[in-house]
Amino acid sequence: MIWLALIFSQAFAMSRGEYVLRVAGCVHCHTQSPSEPLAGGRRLATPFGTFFTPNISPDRETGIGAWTFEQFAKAVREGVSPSGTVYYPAFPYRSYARMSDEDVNELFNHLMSRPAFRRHNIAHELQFPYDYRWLINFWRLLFFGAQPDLPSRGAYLVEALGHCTECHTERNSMGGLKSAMWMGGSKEKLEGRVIPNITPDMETGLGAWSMFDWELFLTSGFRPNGSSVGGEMAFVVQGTAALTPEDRAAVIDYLMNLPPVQNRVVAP
Amino acid sequence: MRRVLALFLLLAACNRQGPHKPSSPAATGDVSFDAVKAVFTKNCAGCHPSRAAPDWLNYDQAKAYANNGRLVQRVVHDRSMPPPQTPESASMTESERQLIDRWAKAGAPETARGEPRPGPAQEPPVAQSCFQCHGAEGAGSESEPKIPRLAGQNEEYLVQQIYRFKWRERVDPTNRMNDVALMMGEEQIRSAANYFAKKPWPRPSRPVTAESARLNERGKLLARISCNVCHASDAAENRPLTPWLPELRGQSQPYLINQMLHFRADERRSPLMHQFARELSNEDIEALAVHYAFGGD
Repeated sequence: MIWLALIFSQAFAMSRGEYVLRVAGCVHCHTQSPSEPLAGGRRLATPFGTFFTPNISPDRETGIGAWTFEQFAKAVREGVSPSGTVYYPAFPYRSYARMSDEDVNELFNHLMSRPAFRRHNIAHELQFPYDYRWLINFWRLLFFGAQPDLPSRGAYLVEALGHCTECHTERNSMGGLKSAMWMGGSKEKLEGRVIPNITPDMETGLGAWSMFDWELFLTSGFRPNGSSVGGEMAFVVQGTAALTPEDRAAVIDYLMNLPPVQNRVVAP
Repeated sequence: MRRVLALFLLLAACNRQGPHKPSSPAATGDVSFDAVKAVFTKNCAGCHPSRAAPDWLNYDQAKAYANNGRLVQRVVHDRSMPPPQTPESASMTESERQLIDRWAKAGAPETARGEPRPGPAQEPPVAQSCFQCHGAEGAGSESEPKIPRLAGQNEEYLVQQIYRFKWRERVDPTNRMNDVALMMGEEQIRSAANYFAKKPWPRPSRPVTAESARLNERGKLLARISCNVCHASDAAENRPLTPWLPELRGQSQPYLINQMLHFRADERRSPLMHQFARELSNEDIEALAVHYAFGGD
């Protein structure tokens, strides 16, 4: 399995745009039916209600085919659509905000080269008061400010492209990430599962994982104890398995050097 | 939008004034009940009066406890009041405890030595015109509930609003507030705002009917991710983010509804508030007003 994944990632030389697409995990959320990749419509059940992801295939009418590069970059990094509406932070633009110009450009060109599917977007079904889209402006006011530059390639892959922090860091009641709990997991369930603490805390996190354990996990989804991930993370691993060896080493270096957070989310 | 708030915070910071320093009291017999009352208001009125606990703002009760020695015993000697570990215990300063001690030792006089009995003539003259509508305690008006409560309101906010009425940037449809503000000078505006800001904020009631409980709940959900960001900020212990913003908790419900309708119609000018108010339905506005009138918990 590991070797299959390794061979898969090595053998097919992929374009830079496709690499960004995979590592950023776009396909998984933006695809409902495997025969129509990137055409959106997938349900995302959250504590705020149900989101339906939009069509990002290059269909001119129902997808993003008519968008300019500037419009695309603004949507991805600022969370503002070409018509000026703000996106719910279910779309992790707080992370994508620090995507490099080059990566956004490659991603845009790659998306535009994919097949177009005609599929109208479905309106979200959110609970009061989250159904008021204008309230996102308050979230933006509080949590979507200027962010410091990312110090390393590993930080860029994890925090910006991989948007791992969006799930692995606990949120406060306003939907903002608790920075003191960075990557410390959350008891708040996503699709029925708690989010594990992945900081190198010996007791409650992954402090016992070696570099090889991480390597195995990111390429195959197998934990050191032989179990494998399920749920959303199984799809995330498809992205991490695509990482080049250098990038994977950078990600592992970043994760193993996180400040340990003591937060028990699963029973020992 | 972020820029608007940043500018707004900047303005608020520029206009913030230093705290007023209380003048230090002189020798025994020079402490009036008004002086210790200020200490009680600041440190004790959060809990007192309740059940067996005396009302320290009532001179007769305070005097009785001062003369039987229990006040000094608990506040000055064994320091069991305000209860240890409470914010009040930390906020009561050593000089405030000494002030109570001196006042009790002098026999708990109502007025300081050589000072005339405080009467209506001692109040700042302009406060009299405020009292007519807002009440001497700033509790608002029962007959005209669209008149706001001022007690415990942010001082800077009150000053700013009186100026707005004076310059007709804010217009009271009855013109009363504009007429009064027009006659007020800088000194009077400051002293009136200071007077009401120091009054204890009235304790709000709880929801009584199923309908008010439902509205309170709706208002709570909405307020938590919108209004509270500025008006009851986590970063400021649920107080408004800056002293230029009004405290909403415990405010009169009809006043809040009326003001939100004015914001929505752009009759009370505030680009930011107009932007938010126009997104709200009548039910949302009512729910928010109910929520804050009930204390915002």
